[in-house]
Amino acid sequence: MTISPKNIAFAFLSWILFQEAEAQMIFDTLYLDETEIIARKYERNAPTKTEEIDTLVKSEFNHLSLAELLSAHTPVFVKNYGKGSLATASFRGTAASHTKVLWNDIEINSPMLGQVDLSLVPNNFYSHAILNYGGSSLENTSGALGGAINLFSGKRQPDEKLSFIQTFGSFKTFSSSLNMNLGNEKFASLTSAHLTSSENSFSFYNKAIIPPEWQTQKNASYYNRGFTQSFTYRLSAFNELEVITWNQWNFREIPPVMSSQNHDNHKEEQASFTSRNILKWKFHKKNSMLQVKAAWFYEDLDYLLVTATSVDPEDTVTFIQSVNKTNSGFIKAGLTQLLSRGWTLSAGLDVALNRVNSNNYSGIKSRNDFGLYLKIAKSFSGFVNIELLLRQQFVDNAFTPPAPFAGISVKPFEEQDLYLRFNANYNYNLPGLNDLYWYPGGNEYLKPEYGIQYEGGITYVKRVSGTLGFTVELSGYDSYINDWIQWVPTDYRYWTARNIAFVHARGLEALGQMYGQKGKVVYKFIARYSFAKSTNESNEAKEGGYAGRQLIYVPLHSGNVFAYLSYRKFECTWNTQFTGKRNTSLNDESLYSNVLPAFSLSSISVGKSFDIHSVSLEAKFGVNNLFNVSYQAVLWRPMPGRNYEVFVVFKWK
Amino acid sequence: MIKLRSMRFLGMIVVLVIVLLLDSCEKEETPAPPIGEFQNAMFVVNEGNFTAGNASLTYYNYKTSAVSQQVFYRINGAPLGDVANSITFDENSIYIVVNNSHVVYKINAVTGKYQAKTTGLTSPRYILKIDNQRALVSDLYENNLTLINTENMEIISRIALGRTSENLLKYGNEIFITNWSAFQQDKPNNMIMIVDSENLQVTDSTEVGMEPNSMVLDKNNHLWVLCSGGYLNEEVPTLWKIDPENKDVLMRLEFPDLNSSPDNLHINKTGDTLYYLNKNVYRMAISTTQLPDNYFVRAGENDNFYALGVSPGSDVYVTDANDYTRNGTVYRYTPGGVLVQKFEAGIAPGDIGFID
Repeated sequence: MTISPKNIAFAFLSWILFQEAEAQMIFDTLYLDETEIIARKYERNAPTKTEEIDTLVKSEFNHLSLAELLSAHTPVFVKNYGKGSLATASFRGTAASHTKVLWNDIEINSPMLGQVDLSLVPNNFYSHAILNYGGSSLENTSGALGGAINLFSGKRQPDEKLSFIQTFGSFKTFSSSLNMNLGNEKFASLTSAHLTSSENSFSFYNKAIIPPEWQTQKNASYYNRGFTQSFTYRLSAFNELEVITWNQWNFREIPPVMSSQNHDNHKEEQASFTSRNILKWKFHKKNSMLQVKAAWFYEDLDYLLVTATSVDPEDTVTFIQSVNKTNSGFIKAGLTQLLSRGWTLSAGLDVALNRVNSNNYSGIKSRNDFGLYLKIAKSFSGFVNIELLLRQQFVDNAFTPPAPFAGISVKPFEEQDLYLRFNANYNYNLPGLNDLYWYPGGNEYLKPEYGIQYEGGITYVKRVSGTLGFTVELSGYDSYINDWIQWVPTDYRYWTARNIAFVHARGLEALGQMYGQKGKVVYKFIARYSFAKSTNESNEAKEGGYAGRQLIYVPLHSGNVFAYLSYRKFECTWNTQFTGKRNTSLNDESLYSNVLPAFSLSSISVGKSFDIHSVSLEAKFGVNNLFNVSYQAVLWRPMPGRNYEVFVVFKWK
Repeated sequence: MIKLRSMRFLGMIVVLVIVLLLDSCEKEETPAPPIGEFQNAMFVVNEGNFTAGNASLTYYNYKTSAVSQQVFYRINGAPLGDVANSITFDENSIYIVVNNSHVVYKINAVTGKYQAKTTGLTSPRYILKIDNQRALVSDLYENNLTLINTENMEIISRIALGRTSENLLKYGNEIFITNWSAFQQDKPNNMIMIVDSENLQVTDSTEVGMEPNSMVLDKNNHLWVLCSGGYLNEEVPTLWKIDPENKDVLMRLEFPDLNSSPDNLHINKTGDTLYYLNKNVYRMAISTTQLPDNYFVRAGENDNFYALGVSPGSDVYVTDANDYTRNGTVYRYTPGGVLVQKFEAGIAPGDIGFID
């Protein structure tokens, strides 16, 4: 593999542009489905922080889930209960429900929980992932008070007909990932399949019991099996029709907490099936582009907890079965019109109809959400860009207040790729249906959470030569989230959801990136650091004495490093993730159960590829948790020590 | 030029990686000061949050008013576990029942050091020593009591009760057991079961109100049982006075509000004054024939009174669980109802015990 502009290019191309000429190029690029380096230029020029996951990094993580990719390579914090277990993402010191995940522009967050389990998103099911920090999400969705992750599956690697990755890992972990591209100028078919399973029976030293002892993790196996398929048909020079489907079957056991001393008569597991289907029509001609999407998503999620007495494994004492079926229908239409003198106008309509049948609700519950947005952008000779956006929602027969966004970016020097940006927005997040209707404790009178966010940033890009370049980026944000929903105890024997907290989240994100080539040595280095201070400043918090204390499970400091080096057909990657200490309670104590200590995890992989005509074979060996760090991401949930993976990668070009 | 930059770049990687690795070597926790020997000890058992494994033990010296948090962890290097439910003492040891860790820990009554444990329990709630070497453990989900050897904490046998069990109280040769939970049994939860402490067989039972949650013995050897009226408030809560000799009901008092859930019945050391929680703290003399109208301590608007204890000196301690997500608070009142101290405990402080 070599680093060329193409390899490091961004496949994502925003359709919001500021200069007519450049905009025209973008449309062409989209149409041609090419991945070109020019894309990056427009993003840097934007008043918002939007970023694509590096394609090289993504290819290293293709056999894993989005959870692993985000924690290794972004400032997004992933709260992970263990490999194969629940993993949720939060941007900028907010909650998991403030992160919206979109697949081809359509939200896949569970309408019940309001969040996405990222461990169930295989990386080979999408071709590129765009992170929209803070207000930049408003163009695509509402409610992403932290940010949004948009996964696009419809783009192909034009030079790769077939790729197959097989991995064998410690603890009987196996994964198989297949991607296949077929087609001609009129018609294209993309197929992805992913199978992963693990017994997940790692050893850990259990210090949560007395006397401490080495134990093997039990009841922690999982599998995920699924496929995506898209068919694209070019109706005419201006029209394209696409059908995409994503179907997946998942199963996981949920292991008990480390302090439990009665493992055997305990069964806790979760099984789910999801089917996501999108029909898309795209029209573009000269300066106009129109896209209409209709989608239907279905999810069936079953949770089961069975415990028996210690005397008789057949004598069941707890039997909880939660059956939840969600049907969601979507319509999404968007029009972008490039006007003269640097003006661009975009407008869109979003409809989301959710219907949930859960044995935890009394009756079938639904939510009908209609949204409209309008965006105006103006470019002043490419040096100053301004964006104004307004989004309005109409939910269950009531208007939420309008959500406006305003941003500006400046490129002060013509000769230097230095960009300054500033933006501010107002955004609303609707409560999850569980918050509203869970029995008992759901609160139908909850208000949406609303956030105000200010963001500023600076990006400097320097291309020293054709074989050496670097990027430095710094962003700061300051946001206030009102009516933050929390579950609190009541005078009765259950908890209830209330709009209670007022959270102030502020922080910094820094990125340094460098790539280059020296003879046959190609290298790339990416380092990130994130500082996220997030505190509850509500009156309740002030009275309770915990105002100003960092929210639980939000690290103040986190960072990661990715390094890639190749020489001829050899390659080596290194990844280190640092997660700072995290509070697990609101109390100002430093003992273990109140504060989880910081940890760094490193992984390394080395590989060699062989080319035989149009076939490329690659063998790789990877070590995860290289330094055998004993750590907990969530209190008293064990994590594996050093473990190994062998990869075989087959590609047919 | 490029070579130089490459070298710098490699150097940068090395430095960054070293920094990150060093950071991971950060000490795991802040060392806490030694606790020393328990003296004039009052303990608060903090449940923690269900499945979070953050139960803890707070030690309070009621003479010096010194408070130590997380003493179990600090002394033994391991967390107390998941949902600690109750604390019981004998001459040399402290027994802590940790419900969702399915364990009973025995620790030294002076040093707090781990001595032994009982595992293999289903959902243990309380422990009662029945003689010098044996104890019974009640269980929320099992229809058995578990008999254990308190020397090594090993299980000796299981005693069929036909119902789930909660509080345990020994009077003479009989053990009185409340049947608090209706879960996992096909009978109504309105019984006091009676087991002979010699042959360990169920010998008798007596009916009380639904959901008996606490009981005490007064100085006249009368048994007082507080019933909260059922999980769904099926009946009004009631307070019962029973003669444990012949099981006669001497008095039955009804609470006025069907929706209230009184619990945490306690008695002072002289055995003449009852205390209980019913949102506020109430107090009544054992000689009274009606429930008190006025509270002893009023719960403030944001107070969530959760557990009660009466010290050997008859001071009244009440815990406030706050919102269950942060540390609770303990309030100490004189027998006259004057607040003398307020101090922090752990998350969801659910039981109080004193070493006399």
